[in-house]
Amino acid sequence: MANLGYLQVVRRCNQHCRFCSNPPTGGELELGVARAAIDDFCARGYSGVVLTGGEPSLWPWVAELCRYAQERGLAVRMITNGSRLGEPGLLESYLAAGLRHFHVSIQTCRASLGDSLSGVPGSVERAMLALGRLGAAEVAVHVNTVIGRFNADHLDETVRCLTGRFPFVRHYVWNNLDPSLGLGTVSGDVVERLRDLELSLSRAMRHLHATGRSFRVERVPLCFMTEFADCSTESRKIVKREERIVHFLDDKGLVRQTDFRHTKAEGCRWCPLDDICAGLFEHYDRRMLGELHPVFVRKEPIVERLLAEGE
Amino acid sequence: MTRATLDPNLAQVVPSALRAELAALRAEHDELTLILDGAEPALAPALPALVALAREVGFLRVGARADAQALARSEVAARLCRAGLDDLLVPLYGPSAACHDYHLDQSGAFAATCVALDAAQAAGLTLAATTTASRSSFRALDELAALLARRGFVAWQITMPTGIAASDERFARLVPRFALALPYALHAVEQARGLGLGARLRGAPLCRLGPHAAWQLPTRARRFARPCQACAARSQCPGVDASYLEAYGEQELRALSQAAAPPAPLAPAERLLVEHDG
Repeated sequence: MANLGYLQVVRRCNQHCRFCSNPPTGGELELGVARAAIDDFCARGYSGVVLTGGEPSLWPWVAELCRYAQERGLAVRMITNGSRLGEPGLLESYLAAGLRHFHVSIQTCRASLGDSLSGVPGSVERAMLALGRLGAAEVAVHVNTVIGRFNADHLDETVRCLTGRFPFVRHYVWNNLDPSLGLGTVSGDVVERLRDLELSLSRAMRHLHATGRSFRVERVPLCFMTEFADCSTESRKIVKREERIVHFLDDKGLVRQTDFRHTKAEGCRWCPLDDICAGLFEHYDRRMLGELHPVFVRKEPIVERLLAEGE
Repeated sequence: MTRATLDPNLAQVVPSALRAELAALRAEHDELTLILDGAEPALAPALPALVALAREVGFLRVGARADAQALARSEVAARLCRAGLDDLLVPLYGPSAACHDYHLDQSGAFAATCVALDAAQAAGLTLAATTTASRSSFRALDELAALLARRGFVAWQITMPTGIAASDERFARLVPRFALALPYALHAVEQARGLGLGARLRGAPLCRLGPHAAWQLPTRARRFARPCQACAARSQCPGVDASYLEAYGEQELRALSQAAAPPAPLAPAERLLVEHDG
């Protein structure tokens, strides 16, 4: 098992993404509370912590917490929109503290669309500049993308753009927009049908696979990513019996997720992948249930790949 | 080739009347092959008699499109063969019980079909198969190719689903995107041909078939999208269902700059596919 904990350190942001799953509450973690959360992850045997937000680079104690976590044996990552990594000294302070693993959020390579989504002109180009700086620093860089109606038709275009421009990015993460959190439902950005994302997601996954990169996909049932079922975040957790803890900076508080199975359609009982598939997240449009279908492929090779892979 | 759609109440038809009807068909079409179609010809108790009558009035070849399960009953296949039936086109939905039975929503269907196919083969019937490439089955088509070859089938067609309205609840879980399913279907056709089957495809737009357009069997023309307007192969292409465009849009279609390869000449076994399925 390689459990990763998520720690929201701040619920402020310098962007205003209309689909944000964790919109601003003004909350900000005290360093002592953050250290206690690190202690808790260590006590539970977690292997790493992901600093998230809001925009965690707005939190003043990132470097201190990184040092503390690493002293306790936890690997640290940060999910960031990248907008501040060009500011003098900030990235250097992170690197000096041993933070060497970044997830940069990029929803689209289309600058005008991305800027419109974030509400901040120039945000896409700043994220690109951040990627360039991180590449020059030779740290591990992943790209995180939320899938919504706004980009479901060109996930492949974005991936091709990024792999061409930033070949050092070796891992990509897609999260189908969570309709139970934040602004996605309000803004109408949640994908209505799985078929709306399947073609570009499939092309994007094939491109990454063909170019030797890895990726994870969350909240997409296996019948819509069958060729890469071993890249499902939930299937990985189901097979490897991993869990996930998120320290939210809102009323949810600490959430420990141990069950990654959701709703299934009647036809799923025929599917050989049924017991390693998360099914459909409950909060999606119920019409999506009608899209689920069994896929008659062998489960064993998928499980073997999941068990064989590292973190 | 003459096609007769069977009345489910065939048993109640007076044989002399049936004989006259078949003779009229034979004379009217001046064809030597009769294909028996309908809801389920093999369930008609009088089918052997009908086949025998067809032979009597001069049809040199008689085939039927039938759900093979009905042939599993004792001696049905042998009686049909003795009566003069030559070949069967059998729908198969997958290479495994789970896959086949799911599509029919009927547990045990695949097992019964296998028993029937054994009987049909033992009786000497020539077998061809037709398979709809659904969202659930397209990844299993290569396995099905191997199964059909092992079982001695001579021909096989893979058909892209057609005729399901986008508003029909089955559409979302059955109809695959061409871009996802056709690479598997083409691979299966190639594999089947390598194993000696006459294998063909139906119902795919030519722009998705690349150099394999010659493997496509004729399909009636359907709808065309904006990219098709400039396509050099449009007159050869069956287009796509209107429901497909409604659900998935035209993103997968593109204009070809050259005409597609003409259909490859039909091998004798492949003629069965055309005769049985139009």
